[in-house]
Amino acid sequence: MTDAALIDSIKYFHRAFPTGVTIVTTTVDSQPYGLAVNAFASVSLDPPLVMVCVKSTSSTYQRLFAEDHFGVSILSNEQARVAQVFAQSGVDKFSQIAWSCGNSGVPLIDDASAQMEFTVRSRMPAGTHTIFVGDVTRACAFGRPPLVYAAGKFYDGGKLVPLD
Amino acid sequence: MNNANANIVLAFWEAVNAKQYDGLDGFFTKDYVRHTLHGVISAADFVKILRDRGDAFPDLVSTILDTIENGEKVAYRWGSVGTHRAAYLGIPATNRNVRAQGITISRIKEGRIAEDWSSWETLNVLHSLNVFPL
Repeated sequence: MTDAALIDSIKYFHRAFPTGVTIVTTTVDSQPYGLAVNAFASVSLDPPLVMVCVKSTSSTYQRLFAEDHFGVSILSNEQARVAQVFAQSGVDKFSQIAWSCGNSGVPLIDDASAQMEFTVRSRMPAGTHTIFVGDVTRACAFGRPPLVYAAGKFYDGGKLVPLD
Repeated sequence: MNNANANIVLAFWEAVNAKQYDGLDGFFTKDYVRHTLHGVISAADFVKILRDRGDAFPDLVSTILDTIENGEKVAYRWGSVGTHRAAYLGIPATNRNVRAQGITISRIKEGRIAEDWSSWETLNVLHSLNVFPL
């Protein structure tokens, strides 16, 4: 068992690391499922691989093992409400937002900053989370500024000030 | 009765395929031990493994593909096929078909299995599901 003080310090450490906000989605028996994930990363460009890391207590977690096609939508600076919808559990998230089906049938969030579809190559259970690594089949970006998440709050990625 | 010991092993796996877990104890000697890659386990431990596996792969069938007898020992090559329908080793159902295979050597004493040496590695099943626990 990891020391509670160490866990607290790790959480504090992570608060110092800004990320975008992604919605990871899949379809099971024609029903859309998804959750908000900030642990998304590029792994390799050739072959094109990405990874997402999902907490095992998430209500969508079990369904991610039975499906091979995942979607990733990077939310835009105008989609903080979408992030809040997907942070909930036990509600019909997809009736509250605008979305469309991707080429592989996975749901993708309309008006996102960027969208991607990938096919899961491997699943790596690691403590409280599982890492899903997949081959990207399609990716596109729309030029909309991203939603930024840092220290428990959302920020407007369109108002970032470049450092010279 | 040249194949008497092999027949005991075959009967054991027929009972496993029929999910007759409560009756499996009768196949083992009281001091049965099973040597695995992760140490030695008891008959009760082994039956629990088989029961958990049967629950996770309800259509699981294990086939004995080859047997070689040498005195009190039987070496057998086996293959199993099943569909992952419920959580197994903490991994949620993938609904995928899985094949496993291995070789076991059993020591037979007075008509019961007294000792097993198994090459089977639990992780092989997870790896065939493309699941790689860290």
